[in-house]
Amino acid sequence: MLKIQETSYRYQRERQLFEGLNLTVKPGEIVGLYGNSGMGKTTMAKIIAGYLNPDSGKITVDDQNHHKKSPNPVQLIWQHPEQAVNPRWKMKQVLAEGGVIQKELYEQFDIKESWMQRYPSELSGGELQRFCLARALMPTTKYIIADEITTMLDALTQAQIWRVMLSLKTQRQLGILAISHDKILLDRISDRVINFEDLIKSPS
Amino acid sequence: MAKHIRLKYKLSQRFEGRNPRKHALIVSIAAIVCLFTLVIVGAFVNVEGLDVNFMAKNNPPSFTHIFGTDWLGRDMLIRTLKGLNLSFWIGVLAATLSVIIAVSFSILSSVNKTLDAVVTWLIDLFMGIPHIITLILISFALGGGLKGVVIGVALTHWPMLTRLLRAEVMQIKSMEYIGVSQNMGKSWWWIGTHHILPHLLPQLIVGFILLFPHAILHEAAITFLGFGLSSEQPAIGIILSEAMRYLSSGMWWLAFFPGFSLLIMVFLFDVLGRNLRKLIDPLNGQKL
Repeated sequence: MLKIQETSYRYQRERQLFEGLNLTVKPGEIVGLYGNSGMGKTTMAKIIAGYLNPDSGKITVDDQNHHKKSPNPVQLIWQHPEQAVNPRWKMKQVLAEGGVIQKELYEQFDIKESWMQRYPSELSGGELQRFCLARALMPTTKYIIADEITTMLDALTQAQIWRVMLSLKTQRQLGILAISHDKILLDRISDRVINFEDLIKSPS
Repeated sequence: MAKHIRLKYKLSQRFEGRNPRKHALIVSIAAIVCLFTLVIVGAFVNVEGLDVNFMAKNNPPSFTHIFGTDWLGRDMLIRTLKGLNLSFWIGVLAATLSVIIAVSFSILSSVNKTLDAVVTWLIDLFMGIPHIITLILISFALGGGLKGVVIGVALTHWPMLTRLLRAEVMQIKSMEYIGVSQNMGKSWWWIGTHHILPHLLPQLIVGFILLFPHAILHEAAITFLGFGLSSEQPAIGIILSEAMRYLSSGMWWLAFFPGFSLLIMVFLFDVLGRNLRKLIDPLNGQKL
């Protein structure tokens, strides 16, 4: 179980983004999270995935803290896949960074063998996002933080990606925290939907 | 209408013959071949012509002495070749040292903010003083000679490259894929060698080659001013400063040919560096 307990964060000399934030994601559960822009959803995603350290509170997976040296069981998927891959690497190398290439995984994502020899600039956003997902789903990965991962994609690609994610959820007991503005999408895919405003206990 | 079509056809024809990548590659290879020829010829040239021969002193350019002879009857072509060869090796040594300093400083500045401030301050300090003054000071303090020139040139030419590399490292470090890599449990060493270094390498190679012309010209300059190499060494700067005394008596070839050869060598390095940049710079070339 992914537990976020009493977590607080503020940018220096700015108002508190959130204080005493609590959230749990169970294995095999999709939690949808929506809220207005600029409220700190992405910052929270970064904290959960270990990109930023919270001012207080802790994030645990199965009651264990993550150590920097090992792969994080919580992986963050970014909104812009073209920035999340090294532009000088071929896609094969990009996938290999996540460890052994799992063939059935990239078949599931409909990644074509011929794409492996290409550079990121020669693929579309949807194709790149599928690579990012396949890369993040290492054997050690238990939770995925999906921060607006399909916002910039067309409805068809969006549906395709979420269909795979839903099947992975049952197959691997993957826990997913889906962050989006798209309430309709979240209602469709999530087991429960949370408003980010209700989640943060703003002191003012 | 027909005229219009013909014009368009001509235009497309003109562009077909000019693939910029291919063009840059050919020019780079040509420059490398020229430079290598210059170095190899300079290293293995027959040094008999350097003997003092008063029978053939002060000869203007002719078929036996293409660059003419000086007041001791020495062949100027051979002196020039030897001088260029020496300049080349000083350039190699000084540019290598500069690149090493630049890489170490750019890595240091990426460690934390204090070190970064120190490195930036050093860069500003060295860039604030004209090269030639620092160069003369360092070379003079080290007692001149080959050691003084090489260390002087190396210590004055690192700031430009360091600034470039520092900016590059900072930019890459903030990229999302570095964060992804870290979160996948990769160590800093792994990220440094797999993500950051391959990005820096093109800048390093181009920076190294573009340091050459500076190093060579500055070496010639301080030698000419008398703070560099000693007069028995066949350096271009020595040749030029000695030729000064004979210019007024009409012996133009003593200064013209060595100076022109130096210019050509510097030009070749500049062409090579700029074309290599077109080929391997991360902004220009992706498919290396």
